[in-house]
Amino acid sequence: MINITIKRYQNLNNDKKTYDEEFRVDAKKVTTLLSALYKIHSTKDSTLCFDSGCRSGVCGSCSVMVNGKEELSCGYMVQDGDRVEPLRYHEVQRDLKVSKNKPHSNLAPILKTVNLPDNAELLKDDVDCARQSDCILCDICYSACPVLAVNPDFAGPFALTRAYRYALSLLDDRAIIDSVQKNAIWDCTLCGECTAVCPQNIDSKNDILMLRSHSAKHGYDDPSFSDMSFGAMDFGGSSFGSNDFGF
Amino acid sequence: MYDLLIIGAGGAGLSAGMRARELGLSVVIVSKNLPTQAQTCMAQGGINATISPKVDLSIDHQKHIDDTLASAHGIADEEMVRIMCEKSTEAVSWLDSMGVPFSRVDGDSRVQSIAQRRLGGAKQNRACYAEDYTGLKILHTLYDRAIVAGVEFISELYLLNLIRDDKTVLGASFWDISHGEVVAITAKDTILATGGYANIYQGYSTNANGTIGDGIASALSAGAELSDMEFVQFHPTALEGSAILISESARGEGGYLLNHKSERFIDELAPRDVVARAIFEQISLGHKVFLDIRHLGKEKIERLMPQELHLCRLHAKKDPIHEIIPIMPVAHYTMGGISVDINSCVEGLDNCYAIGECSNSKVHGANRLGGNSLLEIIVFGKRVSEHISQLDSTMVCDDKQYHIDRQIAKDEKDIEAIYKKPNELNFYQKKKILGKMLYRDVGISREHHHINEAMRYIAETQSKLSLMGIGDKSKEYNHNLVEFLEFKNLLTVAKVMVSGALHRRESRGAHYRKDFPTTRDRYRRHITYIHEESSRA
Repeated sequence: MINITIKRYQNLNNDKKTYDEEFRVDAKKVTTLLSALYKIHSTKDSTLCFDSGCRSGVCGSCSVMVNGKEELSCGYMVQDGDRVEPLRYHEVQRDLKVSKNKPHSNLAPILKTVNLPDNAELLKDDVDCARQSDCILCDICYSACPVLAVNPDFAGPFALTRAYRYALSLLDDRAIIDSVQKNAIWDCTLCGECTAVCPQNIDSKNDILMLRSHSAKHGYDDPSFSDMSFGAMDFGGSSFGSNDFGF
Repeated sequence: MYDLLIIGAGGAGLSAGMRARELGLSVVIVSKNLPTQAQTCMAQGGINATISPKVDLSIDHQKHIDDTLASAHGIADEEMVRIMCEKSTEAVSWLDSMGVPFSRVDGDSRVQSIAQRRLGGAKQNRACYAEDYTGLKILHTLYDRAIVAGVEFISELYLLNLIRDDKTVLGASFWDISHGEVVAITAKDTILATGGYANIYQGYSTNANGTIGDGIASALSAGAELSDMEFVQFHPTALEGSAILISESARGEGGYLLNHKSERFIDELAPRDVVARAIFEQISLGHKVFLDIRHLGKEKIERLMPQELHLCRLHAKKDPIHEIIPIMPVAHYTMGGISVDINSCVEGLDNCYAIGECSNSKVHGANRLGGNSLLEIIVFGKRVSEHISQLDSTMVCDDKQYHIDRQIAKDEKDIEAIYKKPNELNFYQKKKILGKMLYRDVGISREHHHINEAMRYIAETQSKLSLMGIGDKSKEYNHNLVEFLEFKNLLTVAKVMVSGALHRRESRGAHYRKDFPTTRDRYRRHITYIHEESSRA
């Protein structure tokens, strides 16, 4: 038998409670954290709430925090003493279930700038956006991003990776680049947390750097430099970036 | 009121929604979870299409039709198959124009440069793919474009019933999971794109837990006709226990299947149903079956099957580089569903359409050809909206509000009753037992008295439903309630599937009867079902 602790949030008739609860599960019968959650939900406590879907890491629904780190519960081998919490920077709806509305609302303004041409000649040849389009919208990168702690309006890593995925395909990516200037690419501290936690090995940090580089080509500067009266120096695209100045 | 209500946000629903917006209709897509969590994301292999004919487009289309019909074993509708195959060229061009990142042979961006591979049962390299994530990338791209096109999305609404005035569907009622209340959405036309029912074999299916045929059950109770429900495709290799899919590529690259004596017992590259049956025979005898890829070597396994390697280590706690992997065949795709006419209009209802796995467009017949499921959802998703946009859909219903109010009141009463029910029997346990029973008795190999036993168990479980209820009494985000509603639908769908298996006294495609092992001409037809009460109403 193993013990796992789950951070609960229940709202029964407006009586809101947050508390930790420990559950014992038979280690022989469970492998992944998700299988343990199913077991608890179907045999011990049917009020335990969490999202799940494909069980094999492609639907992006079952992300949670385990011992302070983001994981897909279908892709994490449960261990004795694990502490499970909902994702960060998401509105908690019930227990481990969170609303993805706010993070996902950052997609529309970017996507609306993607004007795919009818004429294939306006598309780039030899485009490789395989990695960027592996995204499963699990929100793990968003939860891991420290910028969200200080700027809740930050678009977040996955939205910017989407922007770059389409910017890669278009000969004219001006509109997309325009859409990622505010609360977006320049707010990133390039800490690389998003890249480190992504279950699909997507390198959002690099995608953001590439968007900075594209921005520089369109005449944009890093605003943290211009604010500090460095003049019109163009650091865009270099890993040198705004790292030292932060947010 | 919307022009179009689409229930289900997988590839079929998104294609219909996207096309409807292109044609100027107002669209709302409603789903029980978030749009990109649909089953479509799990499709790996590819989407069949003729994109660069060697000689002549029509010759290649005909080859695709022939392969599809061969796999369907005599009970596909040739006209529907022809539509699907001939529209494949346009369907893939449409996806390509939206930016689906297909893998390419040449570096250029023309449609003709999309890479294609050969899947089982195909005589040509026909499946356009995006690495091993074809479904995922189609789904996400469609979602992106649908957002831009102004499709309205409402998620976390669980379908309860179609609202209708006699045979005319006015919309549907839903349980709003977030707020804990019954709501109604009405539209001039309603499209069901709610997915299949492979997870009625709970514990023995590659599908998500909720894939139990909600839309099919709702359509049936509203008076729709179902057909070919006994045809369920099983995938030969899933991990024993977890039922996680191990892609066909493991065998394609030269992997072996071993019995308990570590001997090979079947040609690993035989058709899916043949391999699945051979494995199931071993399992029925109490023997384990293993997948062995050790001889391929560490380097090759790591390079060609990184996903499989990860899944085996995680779910089976085995390392395929050094160990053999216990596997089992599991339910993967369901061919049957809601009967529709040539325009995808539901048989038995008006202003209501069905597309994708929930429908029986009669393009797969007794067994689906690999690569045709993604094709079906795109072609018929797109086509149904083209059809609807040409109709003069001014719904004539004088007492519409009366029907809406009546349905809401009925649903509220039903749900209230569930909250008050005793919770003496655990329905999760029943679901698990039923899954195992269906797998054993009405799965890969079926026999009269076993099928009857399953039938009895379903009837018995239905009669005990009054003793089953929910432990969770909260209104908001009550997954226990949703799962109970799913369980009721599961029983309905399972009953129809089992009944079909019982009545089809022959073997055809994915339906194998041990007591009738040959195909019989008198069964070259569709077994159909209607709900007696609703047909009387």
